[in-house]
Amino acid sequence: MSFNTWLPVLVLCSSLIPGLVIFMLPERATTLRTTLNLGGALLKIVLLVLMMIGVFHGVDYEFRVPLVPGLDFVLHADALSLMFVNLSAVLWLATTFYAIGYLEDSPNRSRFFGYFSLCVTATVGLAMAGNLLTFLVFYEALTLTTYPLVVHRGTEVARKAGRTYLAYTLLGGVLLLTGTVWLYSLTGTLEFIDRGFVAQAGVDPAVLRMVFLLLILGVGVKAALLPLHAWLPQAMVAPAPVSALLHAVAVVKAGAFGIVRIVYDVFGIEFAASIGVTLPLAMLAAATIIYASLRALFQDDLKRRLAFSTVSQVSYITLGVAIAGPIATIGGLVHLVHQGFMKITLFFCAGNYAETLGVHKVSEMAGIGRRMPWTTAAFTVAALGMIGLPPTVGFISKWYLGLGALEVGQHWVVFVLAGSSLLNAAYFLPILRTAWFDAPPAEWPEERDYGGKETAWLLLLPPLATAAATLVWGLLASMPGTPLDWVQFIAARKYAP
Amino acid sequence: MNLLIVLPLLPLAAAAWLAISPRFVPVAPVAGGWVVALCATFTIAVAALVAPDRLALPVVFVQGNAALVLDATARAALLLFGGLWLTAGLLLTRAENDGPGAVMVLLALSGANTLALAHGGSLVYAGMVAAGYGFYGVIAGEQGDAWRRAARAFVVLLVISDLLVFELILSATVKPAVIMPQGAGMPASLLVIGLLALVLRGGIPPAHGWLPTLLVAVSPATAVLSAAPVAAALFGTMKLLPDGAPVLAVGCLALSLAGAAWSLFAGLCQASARATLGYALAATAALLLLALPAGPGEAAQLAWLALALLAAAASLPLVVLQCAGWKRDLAVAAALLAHGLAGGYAAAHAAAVLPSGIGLLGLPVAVAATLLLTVAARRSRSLAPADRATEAAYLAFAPVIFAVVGTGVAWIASWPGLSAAAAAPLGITAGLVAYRLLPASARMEPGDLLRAVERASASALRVGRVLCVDWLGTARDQLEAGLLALWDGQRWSTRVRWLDLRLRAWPATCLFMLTVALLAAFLLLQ
Repeated sequence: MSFNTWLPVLVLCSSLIPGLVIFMLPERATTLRTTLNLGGALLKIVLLVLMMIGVFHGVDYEFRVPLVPGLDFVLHADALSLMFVNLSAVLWLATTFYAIGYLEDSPNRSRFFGYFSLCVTATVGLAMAGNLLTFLVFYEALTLTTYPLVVHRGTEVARKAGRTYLAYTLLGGVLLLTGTVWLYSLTGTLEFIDRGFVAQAGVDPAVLRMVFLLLILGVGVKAALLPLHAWLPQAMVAPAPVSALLHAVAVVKAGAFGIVRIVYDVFGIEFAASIGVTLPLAMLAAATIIYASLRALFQDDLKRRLAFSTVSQVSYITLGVAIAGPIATIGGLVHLVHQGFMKITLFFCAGNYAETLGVHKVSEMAGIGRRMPWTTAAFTVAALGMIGLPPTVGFISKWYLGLGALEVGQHWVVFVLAGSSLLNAAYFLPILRTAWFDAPPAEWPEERDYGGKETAWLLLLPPLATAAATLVWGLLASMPGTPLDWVQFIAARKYAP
Repeated sequence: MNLLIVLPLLPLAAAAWLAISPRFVPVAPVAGGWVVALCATFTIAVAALVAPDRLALPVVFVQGNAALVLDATARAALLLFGGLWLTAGLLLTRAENDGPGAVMVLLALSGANTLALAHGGSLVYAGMVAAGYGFYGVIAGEQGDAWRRAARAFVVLLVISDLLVFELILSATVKPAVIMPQGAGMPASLLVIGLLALVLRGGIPPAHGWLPTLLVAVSPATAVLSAAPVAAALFGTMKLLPDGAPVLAVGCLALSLAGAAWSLFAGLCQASARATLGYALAATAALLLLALPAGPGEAAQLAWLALALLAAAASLPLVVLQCAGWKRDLAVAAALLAHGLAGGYAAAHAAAVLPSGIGLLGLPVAVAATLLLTVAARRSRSLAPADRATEAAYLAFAPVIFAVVGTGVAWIASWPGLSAAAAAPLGITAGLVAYRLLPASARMEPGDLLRAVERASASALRVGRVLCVDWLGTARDQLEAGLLALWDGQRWSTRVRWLDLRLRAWPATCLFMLTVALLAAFLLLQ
C-alpha cells in the first residue's frame, strides 16, 4: 500500500489517537491536553491540504479493507468528501481554541475533549465513507460520541435532552440500517459512485421510493428535517462549544451531507428526479425552512432561537440538492460550508454572552453591543449573513439557490427563500437593534471580570476569525480557493456529461 | 488609487476609526460630526470636480460584471447625498446636538456613495441594502423611544423591498437577454417588481406612513437625512431599470395621483409642521414615481430633478433653527421655487411616455407636492433665539444651494418648455391660501395608514404564532412526548408490572392456562 492509500487513515487518526490519549490524561495535565488537541487539529489540516491538491490533480485516495464477503470498509477522498472534511477540520480547530477558553475552570475536561476528538473522528470518517455501510458505521459512531457531550453538564435537564437526542438519532440509525440492508438486497452493492448505482439495478421504482424514504428519514433525523427536528432545540443545554459543533460541523451537517450522498451517489440526481422523489424532498425542505423560521421568531432564549434557525438553514442544503440542477447544487453545497461558518460564529457569540455576562435571553441583550462590541460585531456579521445580505456568504448561497431554482423552472423556491429571508430578518434584526442601540442595564446577570477586557482572548478570537471568513468569502466569492470555487469543481463533476 | 473606490471606503474607515479610537484616544462627541462633514465634503468634491470615470471591479469581488461609474446620474446622486450628509454632519457638531451617533451616519454614507456609483445588479443591490440599513441604524441611534414605531415600519418595508430587488436581479440574471438596453426591454412582470420595490422603500403612498411619524420624532440631523432613503430608492431603481418603464406609465400616473391626493388631504390635516413636511416628502416621492417610467432622459434630467426636489424638501427641517428675518425668508423662497420648478419639469418629463390625452395629469401631482411644502414652511415657526441667527442661517442654505443647482442643471441641460414653470407659482400660491384658510389642528394622527397596517401585521403574527407554536408545535410536542414515553425504562417497568398483576389475577390465569393447554393439544395433534 502506498502513502496515498494510507492518507485517509492518517487523517482519521489525527483526531482519533489524540482523543484516546486525552481520555487517559489527568485533569491537571492542561498543557499536554491542549498540545494534543491543537497538534491533532493542525496535523489534520496539513494532511487535508495535501489531499486537496492531489484530488484537484486527479489523484485517487482510497483505503479499502474487506469486512464481509462483498462488502468492504472503504475510506475514499473525493472532492465532495474533502469539502466536508475541510469544514470539520477548520471549525474543529476554531472550536478547540474556543473550548479551551470556555472550559478553563470546568470539571471533566479530559472526558470532554476526548469525546470532542472522537466526535470529529466520526464526522471525518462519515465524510470519507466510500460506501453506505461505512457511512452507517460512522453515522452511529457519531451518535454515540456526541451523546456524552450533550449530557456533559450532568444536570437533570441535560440528561433529559440526552435521552431525547439518543431516542431520535438511534431511530434514525435504525431507519438508515433498514434502508441500507434493503437496498443491498436489491442491488448487491453499496458503493458510492458519481451519478449513483441504483439506476443500473433495474429495480421497481415503487420499491426504490420506499428505500429512498427510509434512507432520507434515517439521515433526516440528524439533518433536523420536519418533523424530526425536535431534538435539536433541546440539545441546547450542552456547553456552547458543543452547540457550535453540533450545529455547524458535526451532527446536523452529517445529516445534510448524508442527504447529498444518497441523492447524488446512491440514487443519482437524474434518476432520483425521474422516479419523482426530489420534488417531495424539496417541498419537505421548504416546509422545514418556513416552519422553523416561524418557531425561531417566538423564542426568547438566544440558543433556542439559534437552534430553530439551524433547523431552517440546514434545509437550504436539502432544498438545493432536491431542486436538481447544477446551479442549485452549487447553492446547496456551498451553504453547507457557509452556514457552518455563520452558525458557529453565532454560537461562539452566544457562548461569550453567557460566559461573560450571564446573558442567555434575547430580552436581556439590551445594550450588550456597548459592553461587548467585538463579539457583537461578529454576531452582527453572521446574523446579516443568515438573512442573506451582501456582501456576506449568506448572499452567495441564496443567490445560487435562487438562480438554480429559476434555471430549472421551480419559481416557488424563490418565494420560499424570500419568506425565509423575511423571517430571518424578523428574528435577527430586533436582536441587533437592542444589542447596539438600547441602553444597557445597570448591572448584568452574572458579570465576570476579565481585567478590563471585553472577554478572554480565547473566547474572542474564534468568533472574530469565523466572522471575518464569512465576510471575506462573501466579498471574494469568485476567487480561486474559496468554498464557492471548490463547490463549482464538485458540481462540474456531478453534472459532467 | 482611483478616487471612485475611495468614496465608499473613506466613510467606512472613518467609522471604524470613530468606533475604535475612544479605547485609545478620547474623542469629543462633536468630533464625530466634523468627520461626517469632512467625508461628505469629499463626496461633493469628487462629484463636482472629477471627470467622468469608470472603475471595473475584479470579478472576484462580485457576482457578474460590476463597476463604479461616475456619470451624470452618479454625479447628481453624489451631490444630493453629499449635501444631506454635510448638513447632518454640521448639525452633529452643534453643542445642543441630540442626534444619532456619527458611526452609523458614516456607515449610511458609505452605502449611499456605493449606490450612487454602482453599476451592475449585485453591486446596486449591495448599495441599496447598505444605504437602507445604514439609515435604519441612523434612526435607531436616536435618543428616546419616539422613533421606534416609524423605524419598525421602515425596516419591515425595507426588508420586503430588498427581497423584491433580489428577485428582480435574480430573474434578470437568469434571462440576461431581456435586460439588454438595446433589446426589447424587461418583461412587465419584472418592471412591476422593480416599481413595487421602489414604492415600498421610497416612502411613496400607500407605503408612506413611516415618513411623517419619523419626522415628528427625530432630531434635526436625522430629519435632514430622511430624504436619503427616498433618494436611494429612486437612484437604485433608475440603475436597475435603465430604460424606465414606459409600459407602466399610466399605472404609475394613477398611483401618483392617488398618493398625492391622499398626502395632500392628510398633510393639511396635520397639526405639526414636521408631519406636514413628511407628507410633502411623500407627495414628492409620488411625483418621482410618476417621472420614472420615462427613464432618466437624455441629460439624466431625472437625476438632477431628484436632487432638486429632495434637497429642497430636506432643507425645511432646518428652517426652525433660523430666527425670523430675510435670511430665513430667502432660504424658504429659494427652496420652494426650486422645488416647484423641478416638480413642473418632472411632470413634463413624465408626459413624454403618457398618452397625449392625459399628459397634463402629472401637473396636479407636482402642484400638490409644492403646495404641501409651502404649508409646511409656513407652519414651521422659528424656535431659534436671535443671538443664534448666523450659524443656523448658513446651515440651512447648504441643501437649498444643492436644490437650486439641481433645478438649474436640469433646466439648462434640456429646456422643458414654459408650461413646466406653472407648478411653482400654482403650488406656492395654493399653499399660501391653504395655510390661511386651513389653520393647523390635530385632525389626523401622523402616519394615518400605518396604524391599520400595524394592526394587520400584528394579527398576522398572532395567527402565525397560534398556528406554529400553539397548534402545530403543541401537537408535535405531545406526539414526541408520547413516543419518548415508549423509550422510558421506568414507564416500561410500570407497564410490565401492571400486566403481571393482571395475569396473576385468577380469570386471567385461567384464560392463560386454557390457551396454553389448547396450544399444547394442537401441537400434539400435529
